Amino acid sequence: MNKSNHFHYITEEAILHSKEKHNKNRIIIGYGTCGIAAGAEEVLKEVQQVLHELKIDDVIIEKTGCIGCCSYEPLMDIELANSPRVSYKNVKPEEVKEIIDKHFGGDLKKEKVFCMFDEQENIIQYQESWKYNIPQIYSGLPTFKSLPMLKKQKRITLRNVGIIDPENINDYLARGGYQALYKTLTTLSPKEVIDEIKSSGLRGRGGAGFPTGVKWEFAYNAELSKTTEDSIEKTEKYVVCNADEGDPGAFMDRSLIEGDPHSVIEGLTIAAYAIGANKGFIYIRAEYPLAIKRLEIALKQAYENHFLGDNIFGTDFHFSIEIRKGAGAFVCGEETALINSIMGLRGEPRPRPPYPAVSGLWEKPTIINNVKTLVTVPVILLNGAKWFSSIGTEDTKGTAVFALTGDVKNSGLVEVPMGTTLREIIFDIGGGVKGDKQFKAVQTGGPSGGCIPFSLIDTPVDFASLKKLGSIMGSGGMIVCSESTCMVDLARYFMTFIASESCGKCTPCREGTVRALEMLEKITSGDATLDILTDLEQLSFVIKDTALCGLGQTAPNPILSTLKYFREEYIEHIEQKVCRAKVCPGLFNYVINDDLCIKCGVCQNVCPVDAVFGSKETGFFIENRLCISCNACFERCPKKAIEKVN
Amino acid sequence: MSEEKISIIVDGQKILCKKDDTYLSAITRAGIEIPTLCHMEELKPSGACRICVIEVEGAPNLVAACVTPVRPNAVVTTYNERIHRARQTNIELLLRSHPLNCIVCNKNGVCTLQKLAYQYVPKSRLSKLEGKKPTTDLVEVNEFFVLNYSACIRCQLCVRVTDEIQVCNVLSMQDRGFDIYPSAGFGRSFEEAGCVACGNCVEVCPVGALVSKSIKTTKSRSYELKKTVTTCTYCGVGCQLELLVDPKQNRIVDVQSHRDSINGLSLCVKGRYGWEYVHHHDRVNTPLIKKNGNFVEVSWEEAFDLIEKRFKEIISETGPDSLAFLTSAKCTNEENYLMQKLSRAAIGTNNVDHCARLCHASTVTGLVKAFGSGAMTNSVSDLTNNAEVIFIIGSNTTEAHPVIGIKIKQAVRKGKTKLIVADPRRIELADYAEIYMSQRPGSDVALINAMIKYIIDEELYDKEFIENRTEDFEKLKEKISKIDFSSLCKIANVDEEDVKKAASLYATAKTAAIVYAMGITQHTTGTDNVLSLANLAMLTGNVGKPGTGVNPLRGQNNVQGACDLGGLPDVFPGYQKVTDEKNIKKFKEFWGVDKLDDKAGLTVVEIMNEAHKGNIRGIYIMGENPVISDPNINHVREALEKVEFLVVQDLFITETAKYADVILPGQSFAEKDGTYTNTERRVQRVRKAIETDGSRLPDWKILEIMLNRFGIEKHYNSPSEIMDEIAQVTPIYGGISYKRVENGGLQWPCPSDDHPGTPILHKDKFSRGKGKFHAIDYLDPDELPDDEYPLILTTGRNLFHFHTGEMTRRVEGIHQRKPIERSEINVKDAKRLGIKTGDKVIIESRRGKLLTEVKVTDKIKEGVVFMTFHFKESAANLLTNDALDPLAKIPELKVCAVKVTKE
Amino acid sequence: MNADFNIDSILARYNFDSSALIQILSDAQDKYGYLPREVLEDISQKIEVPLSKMWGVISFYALFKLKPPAKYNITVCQGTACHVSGAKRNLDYIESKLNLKAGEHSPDGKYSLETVACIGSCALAPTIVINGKVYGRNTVKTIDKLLSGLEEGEKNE
Repeated sequence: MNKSNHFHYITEEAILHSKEKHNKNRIIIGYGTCGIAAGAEEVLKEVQQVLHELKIDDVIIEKTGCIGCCSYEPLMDIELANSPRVSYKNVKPEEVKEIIDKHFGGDLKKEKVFCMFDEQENIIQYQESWKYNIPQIYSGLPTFKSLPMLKKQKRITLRNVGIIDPENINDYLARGGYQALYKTLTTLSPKEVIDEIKSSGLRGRGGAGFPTGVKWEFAYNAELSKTTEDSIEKTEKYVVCNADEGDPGAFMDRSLIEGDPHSVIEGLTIAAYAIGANKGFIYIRAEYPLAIKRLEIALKQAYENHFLGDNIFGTDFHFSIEIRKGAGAFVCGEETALINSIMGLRGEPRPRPPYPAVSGLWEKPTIINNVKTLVTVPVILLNGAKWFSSIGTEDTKGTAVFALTGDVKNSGLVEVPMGTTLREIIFDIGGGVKGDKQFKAVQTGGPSGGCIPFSLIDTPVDFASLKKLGSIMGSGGMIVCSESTCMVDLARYFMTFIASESCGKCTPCREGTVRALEMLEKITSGDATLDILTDLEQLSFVIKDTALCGLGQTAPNPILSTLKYFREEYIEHIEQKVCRAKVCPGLFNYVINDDLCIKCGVCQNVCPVDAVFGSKETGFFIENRLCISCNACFERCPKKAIEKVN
Repeated sequence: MSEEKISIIVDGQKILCKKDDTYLSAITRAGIEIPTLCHMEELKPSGACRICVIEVEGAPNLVAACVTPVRPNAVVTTYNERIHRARQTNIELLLRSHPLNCIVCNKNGVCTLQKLAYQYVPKSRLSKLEGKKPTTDLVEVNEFFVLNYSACIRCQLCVRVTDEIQVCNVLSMQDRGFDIYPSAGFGRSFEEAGCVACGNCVEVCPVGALVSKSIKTTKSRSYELKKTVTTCTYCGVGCQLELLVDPKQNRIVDVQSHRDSINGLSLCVKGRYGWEYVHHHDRVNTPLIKKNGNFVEVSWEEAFDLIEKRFKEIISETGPDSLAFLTSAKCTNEENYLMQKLSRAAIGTNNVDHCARLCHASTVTGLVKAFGSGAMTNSVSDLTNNAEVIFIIGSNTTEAHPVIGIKIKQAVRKGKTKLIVADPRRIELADYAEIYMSQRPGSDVALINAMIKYIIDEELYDKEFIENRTEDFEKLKEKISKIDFSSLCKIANVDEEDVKKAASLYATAKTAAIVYAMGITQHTTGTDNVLSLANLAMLTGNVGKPGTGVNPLRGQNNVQGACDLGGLPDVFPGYQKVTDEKNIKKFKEFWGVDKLDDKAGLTVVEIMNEAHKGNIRGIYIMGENPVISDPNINHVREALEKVEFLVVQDLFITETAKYADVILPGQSFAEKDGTYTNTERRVQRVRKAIETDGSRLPDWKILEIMLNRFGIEKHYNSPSEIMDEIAQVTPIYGGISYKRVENGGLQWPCPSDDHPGTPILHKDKFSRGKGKFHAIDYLDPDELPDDEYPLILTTGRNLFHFHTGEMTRRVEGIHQRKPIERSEINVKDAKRLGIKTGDKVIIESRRGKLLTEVKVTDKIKEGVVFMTFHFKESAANLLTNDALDPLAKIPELKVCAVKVTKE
Repeated sequence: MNADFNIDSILARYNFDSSALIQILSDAQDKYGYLPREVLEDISQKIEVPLSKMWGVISFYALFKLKPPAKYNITVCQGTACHVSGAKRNLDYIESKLNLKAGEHSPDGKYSLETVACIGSCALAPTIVINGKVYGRNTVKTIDKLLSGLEEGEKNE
C-alpha cells in the first residue's frame, strides 16, 4: 500500500471507529486542568465506582478537554447509544450515582442538566455532520449551541475542544484531522500555502497580530544562507509553536493543547512545509503538565502514523518535532527570549532586527507562531482563504479566542468573530458581572494590555480598535473587573508582575518597572503627593519608548490606561487617602456593626495578627492600625456584621 | 560583489554607511557623538543600557543605535527633547540604584555614568533619586581587584568581555530583573571558577564596580593620573599598555590595555598586575662593588674605573676572547645593539650571546636553513583571522603567550578555526582542539614525520607549490618512504588514527598555520624539529600566504630584538655574518675601528663551559640570570665562581648577581625609552613613565659610557639616535625610526623609509630563494629514562610567573596566588610512588636534586614530570641536561631523566 | 560520586546536547525533587556548559529549585483573575498563618510557600496548589480547612 492510500485507509478506519462509539453508551468527563481542579478526578472515580456497583459494564468512559464553560465544571456528560449527549454541570461526587441511575433508567436529573448536544457538527467540510433523534424525555433541554454563553460564539479554533478525546487520534481523524496536511503536502507548493494564508488575512494570535503569511514568506525567502565560493548550502530553518502562555488570566492555549493537541501538530507541520523547515519545537510552559502529557501522547501517535518523520505521505518532506519546556519565565513568551530559552540559555530577549524569520534559532531563519494561529491554519487550507476572510472585520479576519474570567458570571473560553463588541462578550456571553456588583472595567491583553472602562464597552474587538484604546488584543486574556476592583491596585499588581518577570537586561525595564512600582505602592498606601502622577507618566513614557523588547515596551500600558480612564481613583488615593474599592490596605477600615454582631468571637479567632480586641462579654472592635487587611474576619463573620468603610 | 552604497540622513546631513553598520557605528564615524554605557567596539553590541537611543523616522519607539542596523535612506535625529528626556530618565534610573558617593569613588572623574549624569541630570532631580537599592551579599575581593556590587550598573560589559574576549567562562549574569548581577555562580570566587586574573573585566567596567586594588594606593584622583603608552615587558606578544602613574608619588598605580594595538582589549595578569617590582625595595639603586665578600655602595665613577681596569688587564694578558658578554632579551633593541657593539667594536670579541640561545636558537638555525630567515613567518592577527587550521605543537600558548592564546580561543569559538594540539601535557587549548595528541617528550620528529608520511602516501601535498617554490622534495620523499608509519606513532606514543586525522585536517585546509614554542626548540634535536615543521608547511603549500606559515612564539619581550640587533656570536645586527669579509669591512668603517674579530664567538653554554675551564676570565652580564635559567645550574655556579671578574647589570641582586664583582643598577621598562621587537617582528616603542629613583642610569647610558671608556667616542642624546644608527647598518631595520613606530610599530623587514613593513614573510619567494626540504631522521633525546631515573622531566612556564621569577615574584598579588613551585605528576605515577597533591618530594637527576611540592593530575602523560623554572627554591635547572643541539647549541631543557621520591 | 547522582540516562535522552540544558535540568529536578550541586557539576562537565553559565540559567528560571522540597509545597496563584478575586489577601493570610514569607521554607521542613504567575485555571480563581493538586475558589475559610487538613494528616501519621 502506498503512503497516500495508507492515509485514506486510516481515516476511514477512524471514521468507522467514531461511528461505532455512538452506538455505545458513553460517559464523558471534562478533564482539562480546570475540570480536574474543580473536582473531575473525584467525579471520575465515583463514576467508575458507581458503574461497578450497578454492574454496568458496557459503558465507555472518556476524558475530554475543557469545553470552555469553566463555571460549570466539573461537567459529566452521558451519551446513550444513538442518543444525544447530555451534559450535567457542577457535578459533585455524591450526585453521580443518582444521575447515572436516572439517566440509564431512561430518566433525567433535570436540575443538573447543563445542555445537550443534538448534533455533531464539523467545522471542517470533510465529513458529514449528523443530527440525533431526540428522545421525548430530552425535549425542552437546551442545546449546547443555544446556551446564552454559546449563542454568539463561532468556534473555529476551538472546533474540537471538549468534543473529542484528545488522547485518541481516531477522534481527531474522524473530524477531518490531518486532511489539511495531506492536501498541503500532496497538492500545494510551499508558495501556494503561503499565498493562501496571506490571502486569508490571518494575523498572529499571539499578541502583536503580525500577518502570518507575511512572516512565513520572510522565512521562505531566506532560502540561501551563505553563498561561499564553491558551495551553496540550503539553510536549515526552524518552526516553533509558542505555547508559553504566560499572561496571567489567559488559558486558551492550555485548553487547546489539552483538548486538541493534534491540531497544533498539524498546523506546525504545515508551517514547516511552507517555509522549508525540517525541525520544529513546541515551547510550552512547564506549569502545564497535563498539556505536555497530552502533547507527548499526540506526538507519539503522529509519528506512529507517519504524519511526522521521514517522507510524510510518501513525499520527500521530513519533519520532526521536539517539545521544549519552559521553566517559569514570562519573558520567554517574547519570540527572541523564547529562542534563547530553546537553545538552553537565559531567556533574555535579543534586539530586533534581525528578526527571527531571518535569524532565529542558531542564527537560522525561524518562525514562531502562537498555538491559536497554528490551530487555525488547517481549517483555512481546507475551507479556503475566502471562507476565512469572510469572517471578522476589515482589520482582523477570523475569530478571536478569549479566556473570560474575573468578576463575570460565565467564565470560560469564548470564541467570537472579530468585531464582536466587548458588551456582547461580557454581558451576552459572559452573563454580566457576578453577584450584584457593578461593572467597572475590562482588562485585556494581560500585563501588556490595558483597562477599558464601561463607557467604551461597545468597542468591537480587533487588533486596531483595542490598540486605539491603549489596550491590546494580546493573546486573549479578558478579565472583568467590578466595583470591588481598585484600578490603582490593579496597575500596581501588573507592575509587581512585570518587575518580577523582567529579564533585567535593559535599564528602563529592569530599573523603571521597580521605580514605577515604588510610586504605585506609595499611592496605594496613601503616602504620595499629586506630583507623583507626572513622574509616573513620564517614567511610563520612557519605558515604553526605550525598552528593548515587547515586554518592556508594553509594561507601562496598565499604568497608562488606568491613568487615562480612572485618573480620579488615583487622585482619591493621593488626596483623600481613600480606596473606593476598599482594597488598598490602610485606605479603608474594618468596622464591626454592633447591631448585627452576636459577639461570637469568630473574628478574633481568625485574625492572624491579633488586631481584634474585646471579649464575648464586652463585644469586639478592630484596631485598624494592626490590621493587614487579610479580610479573614470579614469573610468569616457569620452575620456579615463586619463592614468596610472609607 | 560590488560595494553597496548606503546613506542615511543624520540631523539633516547625509552620511555614507557600510553595509553592516549600525546607526551607532555609522554616526560616530561621522563625528557625531552618541552617549552609551554598555557599548564597546570590540564586543558584540548588546543594547542593554538604552542610553544611545535615537529617533528614526517611521519607527514607533526610539531606537537603540548600538544594536540597530542602518536602513538605507533612514532619517535620523540624534538629539532632541524626546531623546534628552529618555536618556535623562534612564540615567536617573541607573543613578537610583547606584551609590551617589562619587566624592570617595576611585572612578571619580573617569566614570562614564558620572559624566552622563553631569550632562543630562539637573541638580533639582538629585533629591528624587531615592528608593531601594539592589542588594547582594556577595563580595569578590581577590589578590588583584575588587568587585563592589553596590556600584554595579548591570551593563554586562564584564560578562561579555569574559565571554567574547577572554573566553574564560568565569562570569555570567545571575538571577533576573532588578536582582541581576554578574557572578561566577554557586557562590564561588572568581578564582574557583577559573579566573586567570587578566583583569579585562576590570578594564571595561564603566563605573567604580570593578577596580584594581592597586588604584586604591594612589594619592591622586583617577583623572590626575599620567598615562604612558608602552610595551609590556613580559613575553614576546608585545602587548601595548598604558601605565597610569600617580604624579604625586611617582608610582605606577594601574595598567590599562592600549586598545588600538596587537592585543586590543586584552592583557594578561602579568601585563596588567605584574609591575610592582618596578617600585620594589629590593631594587639596586647605586653601583655596588664586592669588597671582602660584601657588596659596598660606590660611585659610578669608581665602578666604571674598576671595570675598565680589570677588563683591560685581562685583554692585555690573554686577549679579548677571554672576555664574554651576555646581552639581554629583556632589554631594548638600542641596548642590545650597544652591548654587542661594546663586545665587538670596543673589546674586539664575538663572544656575545644571550638567552635566545636557550629558547629559539634552533628556530633560527632551522628556519634559516629551510626558508632563509629565522623568524615568525606570519602575524598574530593574520593567524587568528585567516587560518582555517592552527597546528599547535610544543606551545602552552594560553600560559606562556596568554594574549595569543586567547585570540586562538576566540577564533575557535567563532567557528573560524580548527585546532590541532600536540603536547605531552593536556594544556588548556587541548579543550578547544579537534584533535589532541599527547606525544612523548622528545619524539616530535617522529610525530611530524608520521604526519608527513601520511600526507605523502595519501597524496595530500601541494604539488604545484613544491614544484615552483621548493627544492629537495625528492630527498624527503625518499627518506620518508623508508620509514614505517606505525613505528613512528609508536615512538611518539600517539594514536595512529589521531595522527592521520591531524595530518589530513592540516593538509586539506585552505590555510593552515603551525604555531610552536620551546616544546619544539629545547632539544638536542631542536633544529631537526624545526626543519620537520618547515617540511610539513612547505609540503602542503602553507607558507607565504595569509593564515599559514611556521610561527615560533618568542619567549621574552625582546628576544626577537636581541637576536635582530646582533646579540648572537655569529652575526652582526640584522643577521649579517661576522665571518663575511664584506660585513666586517662595512662595520669597521661604520664603527670607526681598525679591527673586528672575524670568527664566530662562543654561545651561552659554551661561555660557561669555557669559564669552567678558565678560558673565559671576565663576563659582563646584562639582565640575564643564568644561575636559574641555564641548564645544569651546579655547573654554571662552578663556572661563575671561577670567573675572575664578573659584571652584572640588573634590577635586583639576582642569584647570578651574587657572584658578581661589580653590580650596576639597571632601569626597568617604565623608567626608560627604547624599542622592543615582538614575536611577529614588530618594532614597538617603550616609553619612560616614571622618574628613576636613586642614581640609576638607563642601561643604554651605562653602555654608552662603557663604549667611551673602551675607545668608542660616540654620544647619544636619546635612544632614538641609537635607532637611527641601527637603521643605517641593519638592512631589515633600514626604515625603522621612532617617528615611524610611534603608533602601532612596524614589522621588519622594513628596508627603507617608505617601506610599510612585512606582515608575512616569504610571500613570493623565500628569503633564501627556494624553500629547502630536509630529510630528517628521528633521534632519541640525549638522556632517556632508565631503571635508576625512570621518569622524564619536562619544563615550562606558568601563567603567573615570568622567567626566573625576579620580577613576578616581587609582585605581591602574584606571589600570593602562586607562591611556590607545584610540580606536576601523573595520577598513576603518583599512586605508584604513594604521592598525593601537596606532598613534598625530592626530584633528582644525574646533575642535581631539589625539593618541591607536587600536584597530582591526569593532564600530564604517564611517566612525565613537569616543572616550571620560575622558583629558585626548587630550581628545575638543577636537574636539566646541558647536552646541546649540535647546530643551534641549544640545550635539551625539555627532556631529562629523573627519579621522584617522597620526602 | 554517589551512585544516586547518576544523570547519564537523562543526558542520553537529549543526546548530551547542551542546548537541551533547560530540559535536562527540569528532568533532573523531576528525578531528585531539586537540583543537587553534585548533579549540576556532573551535568556541567558532561554537556560542556560552564557552571557559571548554568547558574545563570538556573537563577533565571523560577521553576528551578536548589533546596530539597518541603513536605507540603503550597503555591498561591497570583494570576490576574486570582488577583481580582483576592489572591493577595489569601497569600497574606497564609503567610501570617504559617509565619512564612513566599519563597521560604519553614524551619522544620514541613511547609514551603511559593507564588506562581498563573496556572491557567482562572475560572476557579483564586487558586492554590498544594503538592501539585489544584484547589479553586479559595477564601479564608477554605484555606483554614486546607491547612488544618494538612495538620490533621500530620497527626495521623
